[in-house]
Amino acid sequence: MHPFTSLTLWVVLGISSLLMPLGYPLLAYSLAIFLALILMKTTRHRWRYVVWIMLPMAGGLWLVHSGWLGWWLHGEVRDNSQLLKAAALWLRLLALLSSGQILLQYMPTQRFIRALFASRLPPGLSYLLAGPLLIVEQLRAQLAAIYEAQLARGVPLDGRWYQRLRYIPALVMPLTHSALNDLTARSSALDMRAFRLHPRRTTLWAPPDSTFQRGVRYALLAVMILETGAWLWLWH
Amino acid sequence: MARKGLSSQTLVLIVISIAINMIAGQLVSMLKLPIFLDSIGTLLSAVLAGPIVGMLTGLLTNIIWGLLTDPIAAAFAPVAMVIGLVAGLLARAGWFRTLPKVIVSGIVITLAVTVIAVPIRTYLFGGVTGSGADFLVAYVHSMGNDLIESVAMTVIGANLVDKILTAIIVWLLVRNMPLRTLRNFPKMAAVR
Repeated sequence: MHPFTSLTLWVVLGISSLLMPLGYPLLAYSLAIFLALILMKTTRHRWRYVVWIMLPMAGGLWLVHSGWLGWWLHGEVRDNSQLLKAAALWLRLLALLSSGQILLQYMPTQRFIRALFASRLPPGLSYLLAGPLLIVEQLRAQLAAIYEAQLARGVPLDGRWYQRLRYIPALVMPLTHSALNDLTARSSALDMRAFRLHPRRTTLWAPPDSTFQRGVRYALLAVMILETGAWLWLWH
Repeated sequence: MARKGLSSQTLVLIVISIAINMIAGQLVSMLKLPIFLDSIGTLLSAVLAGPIVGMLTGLLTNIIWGLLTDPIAAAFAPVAMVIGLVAGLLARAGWFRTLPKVIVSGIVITLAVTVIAVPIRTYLFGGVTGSGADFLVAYVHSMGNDLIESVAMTVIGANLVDKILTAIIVWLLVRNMPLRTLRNFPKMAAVR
C-alpha cells in the first residue's frame, strides 16, 4: 500500500474513534483495533508501546476523575460523574495509538520519505518533512559519540544531578555546533542540485502508486467529511 | 534565481533544529534528569532566524513526532509553535542579551506555554498525560481547585525549570558559536 493511502486510512480510523460516542460500539471498535495489533504477526511486537502509554494514562485518568484522592485525603464524597467521559477518552486514545502502531509497521520511515519526495507537495515542504528523518540518526550517533568522549575526558556526565545539570552544554554544544557548521555545505548542495527550481521531480525508487489507490484516498477523504458532517448534524 | 519565501539555508536550519528537538529523549535519558529539553532546536532557530522560523520548527517537530512516533504529540503542536513564536519575539526585543534577561525569557515562554497547553491538556486529554505529573494534578484537584487551575499549576511547575534551562543553553550555544557559522544568520537576534 502506498504510504499516503496508509496515512489517510489511519486518519479515518482516528477520526472515527474521536467522533464515536461512548457506548458498546466505541468499546468494540477500540478493542478490535488493539486486538488486530496483537493478532497480526507483523505488528505484535508493538503492543508493548501501546500498553506502556495507555496503562499510566488509565491510572492518571482514574486518579484525577474518580475523586478517590479527595475521599482518601479529606473524606470527601466521591464524585464519579466524570469517569465515563474519562473512559471514553481512554478508549479513543487506545484506538488512535493502536491504529498508529499498525500504520507505522506498514509505513516504514524510508518509504514515507520516498513518497514525500515523489509527491506533488512543494519540494521545500517535502524536504522540511523528510529532512529531519534523514539526519536524526546521524545526530543520535554523534550525540552518543560525544557522550562517550566527554566521559573519557572526565566530564562528570554520570555524576551527581547538579554535575549532570551543569555539564549539559558539554554535551549539546559540540553536537549543535557541528550540525550548524554543516549548514552551508548542506544548503549549497541543495542549491547546486537546483532544488526547488522545478515543482515536480523524478524520484528514484518512488513507492508504487496507482489510480485505484488515488481513488481510495479521495474516497477516504469523503468519508472523513461525511463522518464529521454526520457527527455535527446528529450530536450538536 | 531569485526566490520568495524561505532560503535553502533557512530550510536546512529548520531541518537541523527539528532533528535536535527529536533527539531530546536520548539526551534526557543520558543525563537522567526530570526535564524535557525538547525545545532546544525551536529556541535555537527562533533566536537565529526569527519568530516565524521558530514557530515553523515547533509545528513541524510535533507533526513529525505525531506521524511517526506518538500521535498525542501532534495535539500539542500549537504549544510548540507558541514556544518558537514567543522566543523569537523576545530575542528580537533584546531579551536574550544577558543571563537575567534570558531567565526572564524562560519564565515568559513558560507562561505562554501554560496559556496554550492547559486548554489542550484539559479538554482533549482530561488533564492527564500518563506521567508522574498526574499525581500532582489529582492532588491539587482534590484540594478543591477546578481542573483547569490544577492543570495550570502542574504545567507551570513542570515547564518552568525546563524552559529557563533551555533558554540558557540556547543563549550559551549562540554566544559560543564561531563567527564563521554566525555569518550564515544575518537575521540573528543580539545575544550580547
